[in-house]
Amino acid sequence: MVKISEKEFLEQVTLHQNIIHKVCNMFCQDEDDRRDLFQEITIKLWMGHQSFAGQAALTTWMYRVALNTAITLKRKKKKIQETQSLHPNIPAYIEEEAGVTQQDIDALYKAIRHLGSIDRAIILLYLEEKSYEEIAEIMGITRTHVGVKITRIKKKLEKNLKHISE
Amino acid sequence: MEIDDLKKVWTKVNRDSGQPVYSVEDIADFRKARSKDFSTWIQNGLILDVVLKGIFITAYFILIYLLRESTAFMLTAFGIVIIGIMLIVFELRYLKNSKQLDRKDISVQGGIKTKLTFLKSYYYRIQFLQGLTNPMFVAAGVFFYYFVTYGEIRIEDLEDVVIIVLLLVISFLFTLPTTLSLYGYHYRVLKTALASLEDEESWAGAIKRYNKQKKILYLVFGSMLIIGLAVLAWLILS
Repeated sequence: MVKISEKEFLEQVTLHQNIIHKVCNMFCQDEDDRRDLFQEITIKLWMGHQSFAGQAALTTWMYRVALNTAITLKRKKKKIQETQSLHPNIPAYIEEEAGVTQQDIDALYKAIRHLGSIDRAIILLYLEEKSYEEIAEIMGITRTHVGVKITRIKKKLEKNLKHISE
Repeated sequence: MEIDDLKKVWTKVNRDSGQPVYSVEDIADFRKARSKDFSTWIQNGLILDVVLKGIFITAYFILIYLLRESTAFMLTAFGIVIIGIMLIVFELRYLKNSKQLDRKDISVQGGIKTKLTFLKSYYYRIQFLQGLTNPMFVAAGVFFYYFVTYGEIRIEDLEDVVIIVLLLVISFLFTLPTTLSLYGYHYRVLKTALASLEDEESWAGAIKRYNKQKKILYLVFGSMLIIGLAVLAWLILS
């Protein structure tokens, strides 16, 4: 078993904090919730860091713990105001560079947030370019099941995006 | 926006978005914070309850000493102490079992199943055991009240008995609404998540079976075709 010291653990989490941020953005609607979830995931990673044992890629393990935490953590119900941003601030230049508008980004996040927690988790891994095998390993389902799920989620997203743009 | 543009937008947004970048010190502070997760909530609740029961058992020992001349009270108090100790033993056992919730080496589906199994198997038992702490507290309070006021336990008429029993029942039921609502919430979340995962597992299985059958059919069809062609060739040539 690979033992990780506290210092190493903190350095690794700091280095890969983007993973936690992405999970938080996917599951939380405002900054306070995102911070709370980030904290909870960090605690869970710490609690389980000795069980990691190097049997899987660190990032795969981080996704697994982060998603497990995000799906089951009890959150306060908050009503999001229409004017409230659904995601962290996006620099204006992205609009020009990526050829997408702020409305596109808002629509994407809105469409994603209409999905159930499991669908969100799977689409996050898909958007992160994880292979079907990795998604299957993280979620605990078969590779074929992942394929079925992604096809269905894409259809749901398409429907949500159309509904939002109308 | 087309569905195929999703990845492009996602990558761009997440690479360049203005989300906070936490330092090692920030992460260390997060690490030290108290968890609000279901498993920690169950475990902390059990630990707190064991401590409370321990305090009340000590209070009963003090009462036994103060009211040592009353045999009836001593028997009652000893009975409560024995029950209290037994409840603590059960709670410690459940606390040990709850450690399975801390497993971090399992998949999302595995995690949900573990939590759901624990919830279904132990939640109400734990809540029942924790609920009994309130009557223990009320009874200790009533006994102390009688000792301070009368110097002895004086339950003379039916009215006193009814009031005490009512207090014990109310104190036991006091936490019931919270217990039920929390159980309902966690059960709903876990069950929905699991159903969402398993729902299409059957579809995936069906597709897998279909693909397997298709392969077998192709194999049989191909073999028959080859045999048929061979027979035809043999018939023509002969």
